[in-house]
Amino acid sequence: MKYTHISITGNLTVDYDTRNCLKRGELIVSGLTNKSTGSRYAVTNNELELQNMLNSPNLRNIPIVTSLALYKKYMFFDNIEYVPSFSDNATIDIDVDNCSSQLLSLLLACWCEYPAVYCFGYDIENLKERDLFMKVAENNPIIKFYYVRRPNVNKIKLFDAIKNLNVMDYKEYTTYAKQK
Amino acid sequence: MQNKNKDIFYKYTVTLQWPQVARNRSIETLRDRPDIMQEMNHFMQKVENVTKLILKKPYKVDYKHSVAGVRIQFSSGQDLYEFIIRQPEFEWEIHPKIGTINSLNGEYKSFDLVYQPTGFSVV
Repeated sequence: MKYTHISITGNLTVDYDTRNCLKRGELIVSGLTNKSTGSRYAVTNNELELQNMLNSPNLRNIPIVTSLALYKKYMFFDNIEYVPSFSDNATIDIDVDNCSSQLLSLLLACWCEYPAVYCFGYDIENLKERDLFMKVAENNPIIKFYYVRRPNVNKIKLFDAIKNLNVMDYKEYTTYAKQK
Repeated sequence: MQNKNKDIFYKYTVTLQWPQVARNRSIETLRDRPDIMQEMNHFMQKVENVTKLILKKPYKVDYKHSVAGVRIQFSSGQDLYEFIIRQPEFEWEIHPKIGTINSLNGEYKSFDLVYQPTGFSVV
């Protein structure tokens, strides 16, 4: 079966059953904010969070992807890996050691080269995060990005200028997942 | 256990140096000195016995003779840690480099092993 998309959970708590994401796609979780089962990768670049993730029974068989600096320190744990080089996004100049886990997950999702990336619980209230989110989307024009949020009557017009970045709510995503 | 199953992912690689007497010897010297060859064979036997004894997860010993030493591949980081930390007990020396393969992209990267009074670190 060919997967058509990849989903990520960001730094915010997601009040959505992410098992829907696994029907025809894969899932990347950022840190320990959301305890999702069956994810493809778990991502963090925070040492304390990494220690907790390494001891988390939920993530025992899931590759935990971290920065190279932390990998060197914890390399004797079997399920730890370091992030690949994101050469496609090198122009954005992101420091993988100090950026947020959600941004690292987003970059990893782009690196996986799926045609669509669905972002759950992605913190865009932080202006720096929002700016980088938009830059990553602009930098990867062949990937469709979806900012998936709780159903809300108020429309987000922030991303209107970016053709490959759309907003979707949980209901729409569930319908999409069922279609697949 | 030394496993020949192709599905096992050997993530870590280290090279165990030959005993002092056999290091930096040319092929000609080794051909003329059966005592050194015997020492090397004993060493291989010892490596086999010790790995069987202390390693819990699958590993692979490279039996091809190399000038650098004996290459051992590990599937478990915990086993490798045990192997490194117990070097003085078995009186052997690891070449201070650890090779790892990234399961995401298959990239091989080598890291330096630095010994410190309190243990060791990877840089």
